[in-house]
Amino acid sequence: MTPSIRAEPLGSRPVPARRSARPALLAPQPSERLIYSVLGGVTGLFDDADLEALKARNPDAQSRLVASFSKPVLIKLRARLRSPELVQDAFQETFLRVLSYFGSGKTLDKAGSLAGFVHGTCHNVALEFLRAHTRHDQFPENFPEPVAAGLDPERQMVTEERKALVRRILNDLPEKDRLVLKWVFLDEVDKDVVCRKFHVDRNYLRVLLFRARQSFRAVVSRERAKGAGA
Amino acid sequence: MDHMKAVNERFAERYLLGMPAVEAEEFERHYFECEECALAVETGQIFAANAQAVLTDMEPRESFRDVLSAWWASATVMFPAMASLLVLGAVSFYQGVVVIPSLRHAMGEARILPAFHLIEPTRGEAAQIAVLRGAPSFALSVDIPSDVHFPSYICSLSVGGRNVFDLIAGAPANGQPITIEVPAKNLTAGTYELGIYGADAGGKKGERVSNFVFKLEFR
Repeated sequence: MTPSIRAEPLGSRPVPARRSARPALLAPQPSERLIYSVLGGVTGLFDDADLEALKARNPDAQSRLVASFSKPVLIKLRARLRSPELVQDAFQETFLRVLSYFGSGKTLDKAGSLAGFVHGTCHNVALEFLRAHTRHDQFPENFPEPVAAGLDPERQMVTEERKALVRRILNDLPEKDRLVLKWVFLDEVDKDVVCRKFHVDRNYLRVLLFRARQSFRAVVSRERAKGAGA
Repeated sequence: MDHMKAVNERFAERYLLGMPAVEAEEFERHYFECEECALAVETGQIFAANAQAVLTDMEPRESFRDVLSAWWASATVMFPAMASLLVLGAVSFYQGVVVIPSLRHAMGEARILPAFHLIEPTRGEAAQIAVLRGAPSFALSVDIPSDVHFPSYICSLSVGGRNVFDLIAGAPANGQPITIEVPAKNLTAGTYELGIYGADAGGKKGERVSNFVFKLEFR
């Protein structure tokens, strides 16, 4: 069975098998649900047979697991860790731990607990990375910049094509709304300060972002449809 | 977490804008199971990242002129500068309208100048000069001995050993005195000494030709 979302590739770097970090052992949460439901309809399934396949290190089952959870793992890590390099490393560490857990012969009581298990592992990894990297000394001033990896999905977040679409959406916004988004995303001003400055409330910010996101989604879909039709 | 609750309460936007850790974790658990919410957050993250890049591009690059304008517009510079300009304008206006015309008027008109001819004291007594209080200036004239000839003379006025001014005067015609107009404004009553020195063509001070002592009074 195919997961309903197209999985993000694991980047240009496959999960390194040489790492020997111990997987986080979390108590599986009892749940009757299987993963991936959209509006109540189950679209992606992991059952006990899949758990057995993971335990047996079946490459197809492993690929399906990675494909199914790469999106939520990535978005959680992006929200928690600022550096794209850290996100990539934490992303790989998360799946390394999950696969190592099953590869060591352990399994979960219920297949429906898999999402919670991956989430818990991802959460622990994010916290560990955050702790480890906030303890580090600052890089010296002349420290060489890391080399940009061309196929890195984190770097593909911002592309010229997407920027053009977003620019169009921003240009269509009233000046005030554009300024609000600038203060929130670019200047990273405290939201309470933004609200006070522009005489709006938190709900206004949410609605503004919701509309911008919907417009973005719509134009991306249109562009994709055009691209597919051409 | 119920999906409808997440949608109705705009959890994706709240998550993107920042929400309390407990709620955020609850929502994260949800979108690990819910494709629609994961997609909503992902779209929002991509929009935010690209908006950040676009808004950075939109930020005007500050030219020197912009920096100068901003500096000029800043309150710490603008207000003192405007105040100074205002004061300068008022002073210029007053000078242009009142002071300069009155000076021109005064210069163009005949007026009485108190004048005193000084003679070298013979018995050590100083000459008495009485000037009306408020008079802007008075004139002193001194004779040059007939046997002394210099291309020019330096007239040096002092009081109590303090020099008041040095003035270079051209050699007067034969038998004519040197006449000096002395501004009275900054002078106080006292005993003054006016020394006349010969000077060469280059204006270099030479030997003293004569010395006049006078007592200045204001009435």
